[in-house]
Amino acid sequence: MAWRQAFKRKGYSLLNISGLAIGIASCLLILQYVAREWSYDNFHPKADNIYRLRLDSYQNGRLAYQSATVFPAFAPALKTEMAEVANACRLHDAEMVITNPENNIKFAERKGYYADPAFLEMFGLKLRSGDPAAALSGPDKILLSESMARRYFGRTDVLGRNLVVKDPNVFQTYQVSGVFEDYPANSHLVIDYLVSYRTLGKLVRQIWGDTTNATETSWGWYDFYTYLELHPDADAKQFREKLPAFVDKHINAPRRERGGSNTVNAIGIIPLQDIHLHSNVNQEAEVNGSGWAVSVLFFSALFILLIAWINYINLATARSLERAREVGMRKVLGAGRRQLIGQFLLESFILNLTAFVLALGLVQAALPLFSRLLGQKLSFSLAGNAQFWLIATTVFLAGTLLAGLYPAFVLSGFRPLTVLRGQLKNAAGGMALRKGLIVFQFAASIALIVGTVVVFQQVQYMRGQNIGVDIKQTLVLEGPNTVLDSLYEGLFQPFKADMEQIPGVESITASAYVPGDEIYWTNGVRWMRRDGEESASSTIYTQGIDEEFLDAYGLSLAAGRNFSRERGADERSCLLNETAAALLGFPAPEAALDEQVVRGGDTLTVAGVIRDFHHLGLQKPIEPLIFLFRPDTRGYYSIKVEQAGGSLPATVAAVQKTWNTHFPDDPFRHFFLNEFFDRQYQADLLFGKVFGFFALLAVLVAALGLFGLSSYNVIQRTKEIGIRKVLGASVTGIVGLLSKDFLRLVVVALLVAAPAAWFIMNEWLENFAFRIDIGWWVFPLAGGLALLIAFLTVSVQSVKAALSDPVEALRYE
Amino acid sequence: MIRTNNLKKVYRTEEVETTALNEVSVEIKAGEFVSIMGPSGCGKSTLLNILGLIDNPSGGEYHFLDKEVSKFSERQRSQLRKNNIGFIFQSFNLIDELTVFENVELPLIYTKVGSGERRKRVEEVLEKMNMMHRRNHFPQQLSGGQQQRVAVARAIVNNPKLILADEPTGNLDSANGDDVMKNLVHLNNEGATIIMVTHSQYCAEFGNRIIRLLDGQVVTESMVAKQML
Repeated sequence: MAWRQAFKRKGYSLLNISGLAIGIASCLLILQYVAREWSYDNFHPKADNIYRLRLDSYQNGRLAYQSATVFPAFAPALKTEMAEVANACRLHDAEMVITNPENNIKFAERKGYYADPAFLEMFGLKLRSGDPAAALSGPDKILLSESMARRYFGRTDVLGRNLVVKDPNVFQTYQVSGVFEDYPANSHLVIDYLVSYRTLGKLVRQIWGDTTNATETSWGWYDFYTYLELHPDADAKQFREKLPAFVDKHINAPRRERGGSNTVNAIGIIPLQDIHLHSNVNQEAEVNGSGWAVSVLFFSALFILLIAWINYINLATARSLERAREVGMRKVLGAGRRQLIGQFLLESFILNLTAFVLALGLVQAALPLFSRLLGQKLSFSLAGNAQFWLIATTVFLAGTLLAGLYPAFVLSGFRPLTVLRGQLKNAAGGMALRKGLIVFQFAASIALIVGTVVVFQQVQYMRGQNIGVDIKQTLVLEGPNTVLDSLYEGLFQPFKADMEQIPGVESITASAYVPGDEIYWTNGVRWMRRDGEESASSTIYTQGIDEEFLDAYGLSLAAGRNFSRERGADERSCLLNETAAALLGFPAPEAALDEQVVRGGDTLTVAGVIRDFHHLGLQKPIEPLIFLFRPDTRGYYSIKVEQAGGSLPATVAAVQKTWNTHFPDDPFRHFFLNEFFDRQYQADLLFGKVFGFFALLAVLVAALGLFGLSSYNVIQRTKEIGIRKVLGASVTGIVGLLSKDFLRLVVVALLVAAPAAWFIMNEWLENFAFRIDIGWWVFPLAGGLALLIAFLTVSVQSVKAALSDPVEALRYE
Repeated sequence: MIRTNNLKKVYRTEEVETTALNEVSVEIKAGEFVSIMGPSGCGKSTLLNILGLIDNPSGGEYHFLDKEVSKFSERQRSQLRKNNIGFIFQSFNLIDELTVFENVELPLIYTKVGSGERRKRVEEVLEKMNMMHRRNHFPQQLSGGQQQRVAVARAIVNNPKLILADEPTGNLDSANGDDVMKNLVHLNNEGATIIMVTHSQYCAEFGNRIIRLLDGQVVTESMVAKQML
């Protein structure tokens, strides 16, 4: 019987099923993505008890920065002094070029860390070989992931084999002390290899001549990710409250005693599982996700599903008039209310089931597209994914019950006598509910449209701004890692000379960082006033450049001069950007000239002030920068390529050839700066695209529902339309009459959606240092769009009705 | 006022072709009250629809107010209709969602009469039909006779030259039926041309001429002896 109902009303079923299927499919797709984002770091056996430290630095009472990395002395001190801490471990970035000396296979590796032995146990790393107790103890040991082992050795049973690192200054040999199962991708850390922490101590001693055991005792070097494992019964809140006293004892109090510093530190802890979505401070290990964006997507998914369910409810109740006679007849024949509810629920079940199966097909089909849209591989085969099926089944059952129950109760509640007498009129209550639901659907759609427009506007705005630095036509090479400092100057000059010979190359400049690359090199800097007055020290970001950097990047000076090689003393000069000059207390750029600033232990003379430019994307404010003259810096070489001359691939090929001649031990790594810089906007752009895509779907599903509802409306009003036509109503008049009610609902939806969307999108825009204001016109635009779509949808039916022959409508009374 | 020449109306469905009207030629002069009679399915209502410009004939000529209108478009017919013709139906065909006042007001809205004038005219006809006290009721709150009085009010509010009535007493008891017929006669006396379709010989005789149809053709036309009212 239920099947027969479904077949009998083909149009009705088709509308219902396709709307539901689209709704379910997009909900499942988004939820799959959201679930993945939410799953970060929950695979660790001790995930609930692990926290990462965060360092906050206040200068002159102002929060200067927050860093995901802290001082190395924290871990041992916290473990000994705080009863709550069961274990602690540190990670320190270990980028290096690693070589297998047997076959000379060589890669520039980035995703590895110097790690304390405790890391293995705390993070539950799964060792395939090696002794977990010993694998990271002592110096010169390296643990490899299985993929990395295969990359270097072609196999994974490589315990005891050697790998070689040609650090610029030291030639190291590391012994493979274990191989671990590839580290899961859904972690805030990407780990290909781990080097024993003691190795770092050894290097620091050898290379820098450090005698202070800095990697264990430093309370100033903040380059160490530090994780704490709290006892399962420890109270994290209480622990947090103890931290200020701890920091004061170890850092702030000694600093006050020494005097001369205006920096105050604080630390915070963040649960391991929150890092990926809720931590966005300096020096994050990887680019984290946005908890806000994920939540918004999650709610969009729910909205779309709700819209689809609402369609079902609306269509089913709208049809109640038609089915009232059936219900009345059944009741007269003795059907109980329970049986009727059962029948309607069964119909709901069958429709939902069909839609669900269709949705699974849609998900499968859309997955590659969706993955490409997200730029990440969504790893799920439908069959073997328990989580997916759990979500899917919940969605399905909730749909059957939620969407099925209401119509079932309404329909089964009709009194047979009224129905059979034909006196049943649309219950006013049912009508109000339907209208409310339509308002909800369109409010959700309008909010999604507004969101999409605002996101794209913001991205457009950020990309369109003049960033004050010329990043076009710039080929950037990453500097060589394997060349010894003493030899470098001798190698770089000939390389530079050769590069300048290449046709198409305009200039080449060396710098520690390039625009778009987050600066990790910071120092406290203060103005040494001539009047002897005390001045505050501020953390300033350091950039090392040669004398061609300003020209090549089109930077201009607000005051003073550029570095010059001819002046022997320029190693003791510096340039500031306007923000830094202001921060240090200079009233105007000119006032900074020839003044002295103290940076670390050095005293430097300010030679010039550079006009502010955006080193990073417009999400970030313009940070204070100090430029040091480092002609031998080897972070990056920026090559300006001629706009017109020659073909770009040929130039790149020639550059690579020259590179290989001069730095044969270093891989050629390059990128184009405008693309590199633009990558900062990719996440927001992606968010906009995903958002837009689902906004479109939401509108589509809502329109499907409106279409169905308007067609029933027309059927119900056939007689009225006929009368009005006989009395002389025009086609336009009839269309207007039939559309008016629906359009009024859309207007109400706009009124509901506008403030909510405005509030939410303003919240989002708060993430940007440079942001647009939401234009008032966005709302009429979104509303107009919704109105247009609603009108077109409804008018399909109403035009048809208006053109119909009134004789038909009135003939059969 | 009305002259038809060999009017023809054929309904086609996929399987069958039904001839509803076959070569109907009638002439009705201004001021007449004509009753059309005949058994079910003889084409009475079809003829009335064509005469009322709701429907187009399949063939033949139809002169309405000296215009040949059989090929008129819906828009043109609508123009003529709303300015010249009032309709009364067997099942009243009031709009349930509108009040008595609003139902009667409708034709005036469609002929773009100003709202002050509308109010005046609606009140006038409601007064005339003795329905003023019910002006704010909805159709379902009224008896059948009252509903038909509203429908008559609606039909005449525009002062149409022609009033078409399709079985106006079909759904009414005899007292209410008489009431409606008297109203029609009264309107006729005031100058309106009336064409009425009916089954009832009694009702038909309220008019001054009876046209009998059978199977889509006119079989007899006869004058009615003057009624004593």
